[in-house]
Amino acid sequence: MAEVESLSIVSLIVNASLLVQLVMLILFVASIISWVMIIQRGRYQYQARNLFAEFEDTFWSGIDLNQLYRQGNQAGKVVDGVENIFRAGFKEFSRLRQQGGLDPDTIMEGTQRAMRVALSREEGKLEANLSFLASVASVSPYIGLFGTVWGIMNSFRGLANVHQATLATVAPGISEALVATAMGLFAAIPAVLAYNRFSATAETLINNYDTFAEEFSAILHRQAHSK
Amino acid sequence: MAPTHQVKANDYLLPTVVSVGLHGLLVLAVVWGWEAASEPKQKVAPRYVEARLVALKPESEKPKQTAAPKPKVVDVSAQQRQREVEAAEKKRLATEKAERERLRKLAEEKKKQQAEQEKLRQQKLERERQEKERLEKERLEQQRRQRELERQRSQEAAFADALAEEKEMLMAQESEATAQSYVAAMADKIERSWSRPPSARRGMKCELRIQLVPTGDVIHVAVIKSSGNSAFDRSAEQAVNKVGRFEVLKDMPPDMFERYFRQLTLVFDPQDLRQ
Repeated sequence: MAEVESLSIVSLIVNASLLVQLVMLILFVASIISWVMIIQRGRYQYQARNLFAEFEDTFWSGIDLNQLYRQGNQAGKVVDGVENIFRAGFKEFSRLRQQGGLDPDTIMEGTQRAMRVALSREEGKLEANLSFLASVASVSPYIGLFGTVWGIMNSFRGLANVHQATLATVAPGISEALVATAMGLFAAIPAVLAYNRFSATAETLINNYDTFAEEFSAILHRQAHSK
Repeated sequence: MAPTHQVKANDYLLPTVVSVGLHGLLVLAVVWGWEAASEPKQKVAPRYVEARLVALKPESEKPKQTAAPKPKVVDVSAQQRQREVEAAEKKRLATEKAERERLRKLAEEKKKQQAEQEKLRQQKLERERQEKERLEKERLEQQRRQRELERQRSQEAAFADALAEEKEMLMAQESEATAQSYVAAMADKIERSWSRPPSARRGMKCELRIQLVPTGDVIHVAVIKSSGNSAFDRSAEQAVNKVGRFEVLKDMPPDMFERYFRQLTLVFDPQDLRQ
């Protein structure tokens, strides 16, 4: 009674049982990693959006396609996103054409296949790490809850040996256990938000890429059959 | 493909730094901010310095006044005498001016000194006042702490008393309960070796005084309150004698035996009698 028992969060964490501490550690690390993913994804998707807008502007400005392709070969230029699809399609198209004697439909088929491959690769890049965010979002509340239940279980087990159970004998244990739930929610909420946002953005971008690929193949189709 | 991959790999560095930094900040905020605002802020009394610029103003005005009429005198003068007079006048004026200047300077200096002294005195007073305040505060603080300590101590003492009392009570209750359980076991045994008389009816009970020794042997049995049926009383007495020795009492703490069992008053109240 002489010293006032301090119930700061730090002392709660330090005095928690080993398993609860482990749970807290896992949640903390999950939170750190998920924030790394959030920031990285955010930057990457922002960049992809900007590149897409930029490339579309240049593409529809009436520039010569050969020139556009050569621009991408310049050193130091960031080639990513939709430009990869364009380059893959155009390269395949010009190669098949140079071979000569091929049916225009065969040329178009090869081109479209090349673009599909590039598109699915871009899709993978846009959606990388999103599954990790989804796992953190769905699992970390459960991990936190597990820590809490374990902590409360222990605190009640300790209570069984006490003759007179007052609130003061249970409260520290429960408070300690609830920290785990708090941390679980702390890790989960940003992950849920980020997952929803990033998957929506990725879907929009992939749709845009798809549309672009179709438009581009229409142009190439016209060229292949025009001779 | 290769260059874009490289860009992405590098991209992880900044997010990692930012994320770890954010979490570090959070931890710091939790560590420092949880018990914030418990420490009273120490007030710093402002030390003011009195500045007086009063003496400077006349100094800049005076020379202008004396310089202004001078050219007029020069303009009017034409003759030697007048010039001499003028010169003398000038000289006089100059000496006067010098004198005035000197006096003024002297006065100013004096004033300045006075101001300085005043300032020093004020500062000293201020310091003394602060010192006194500080001492007073400390004294009050100490008193408060003393009182707090006393209060705490008395509280602790009261708490300890209450605790001891409660413990005692609990112990008493507990030993009572154990004794009761022993008595129940004994009654059970008696009942089992009891041969019921045909006249026994439900509701009959008698009080027996049993004298025991620590080994559990029965020394003496007596009916101290009859049930009203002598056959019943006798049968009860016989039952106790038939048991002869209560094994359960052997492993009982001696103080409990002394307290409850050396002279045991047992109410013989069999439950399974017919109407």
